Amino acid sequence: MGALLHHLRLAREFARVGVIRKSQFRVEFLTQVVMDTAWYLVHIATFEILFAHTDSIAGWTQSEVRVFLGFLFLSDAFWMIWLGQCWHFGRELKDGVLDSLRLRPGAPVFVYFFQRFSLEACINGAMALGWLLYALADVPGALGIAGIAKLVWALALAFWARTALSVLFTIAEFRAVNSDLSNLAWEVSMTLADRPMDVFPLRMRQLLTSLIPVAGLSTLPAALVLGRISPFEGLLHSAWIFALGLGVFAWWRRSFRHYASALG
Amino acid sequence: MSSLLRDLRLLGIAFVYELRKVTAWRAGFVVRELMRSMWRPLVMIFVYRAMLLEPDARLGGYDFPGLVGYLILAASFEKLLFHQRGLDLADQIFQGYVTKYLTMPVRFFVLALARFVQHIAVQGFVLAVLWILGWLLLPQWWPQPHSAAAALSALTLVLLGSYCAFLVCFVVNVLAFWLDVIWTLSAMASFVFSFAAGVLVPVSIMPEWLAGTLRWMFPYWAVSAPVELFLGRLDPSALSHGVAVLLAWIVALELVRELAWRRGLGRHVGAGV
Repeated sequence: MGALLHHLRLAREFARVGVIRKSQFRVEFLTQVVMDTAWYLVHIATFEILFAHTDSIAGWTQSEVRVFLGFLFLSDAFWMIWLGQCWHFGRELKDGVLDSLRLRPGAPVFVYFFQRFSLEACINGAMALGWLLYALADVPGALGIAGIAKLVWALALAFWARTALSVLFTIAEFRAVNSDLSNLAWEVSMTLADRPMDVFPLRMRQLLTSLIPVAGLSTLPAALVLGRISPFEGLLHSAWIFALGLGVFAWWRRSFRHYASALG
Repeated sequence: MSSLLRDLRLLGIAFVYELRKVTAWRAGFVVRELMRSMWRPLVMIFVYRAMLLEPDARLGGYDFPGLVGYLILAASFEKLLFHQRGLDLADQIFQGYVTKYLTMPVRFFVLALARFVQHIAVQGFVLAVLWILGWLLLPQWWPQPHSAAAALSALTLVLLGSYCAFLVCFVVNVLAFWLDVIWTLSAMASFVFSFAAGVLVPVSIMPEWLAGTLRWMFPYWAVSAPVELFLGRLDPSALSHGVAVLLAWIVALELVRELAWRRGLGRHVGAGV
């Protein structure tokens, strides 16, 4: 409990520094909000155009895909708010500038990945939440007490999966320094996460639900809230992704032990 | 005339250096250059497969093999389009080391232009290899040109469109004279461009009001129109319309580039932002 409070205090400090930093980059604040809005609009427009020609895509109706997109946007906003630093990991590892993590003011995974708080992404998060609630308004019972409980569960799953994947991909950089592999893996998996997993063949779906749980970002949370999977099935997926995340964090910590300042 | 010759000579030298730089590190070359713009069309094939399960199912006049051909072509043409990663001008402005280039007796724009030429050369080579492999390994899926003239028309439009994309990248980078960070603008331009170009969804299947608007934009003539010309789905007379639209965009973007660069240099103090 003490460790949790300590890390929450660290997160608060990261948020404070993030807000101060953003006050120096006001135009970037605005452009980042606009950029993410454009990203949302492009995704929405793409599916709306496709649904003008069909009733369902791999069993997902238009209103279900809107919910799916809501989770995609919200989990992306979470990533932008807290985990943006992972994009720089390969370069920082090569340059040997991770020494401060050795001081361990907290768990290295937490201190590294959560250090770059983005205030503008909070605005996008609010927009994404607005879209999700709009989409859920079409789903019977989704905004009742049980529905809200499931929504909170689904969001926790999406955020945990984002964090686990962010950390997982950076491990490749320990093995192949300056390879840009983590960013490549991230780009590929985000491209896959942009569509409901049911469009993919069975084996690929299994891979993206288990070992590289890209489905945890948006497909599984949306399926859980929409009742496409039962709560029991959702529980099994959540337990697996939670355990996988813990394993990934331990693997990252072990990999980090080999880090030396002059690695590059 | 002598200044044009000097620019051309500089362009040749800078092109060779850019080429050597981009091919110097093989793993990075594969990751960054070969696979660029391949993933999203690949994923979209699965989406269209899920939509067109019935053998005679169609989407706006396309059957499934037709859409696969469209996506292969769109991904190929998108590879030829210049992209933001090709220029680091904004970093140079932000950190202040663009100054060293400005003191040389050459036009700075020629150095940037060498990046464009290098991009076309590298991606053109990559595409040639990819297409030979595609024709050999997947002949039933790989698109065939409607005619040699259609292929040539498509390539003309793509190259003009790529120059437009290069000018947009340059202008967005030059905004670093005023803004601290421009990566968000670059990323936004990339999303919007991709959608307007019809990389994943053909513009011809979009609602008429939207398609009509996009036909005035250069991204459409850089990807979606060349694809449909290549496949013979667009009348060959569209070429002249496309060239006219693209040339108008090039003139407009050149003016913006010149103005932005001159105004930006007026603010530049050589010490970074």
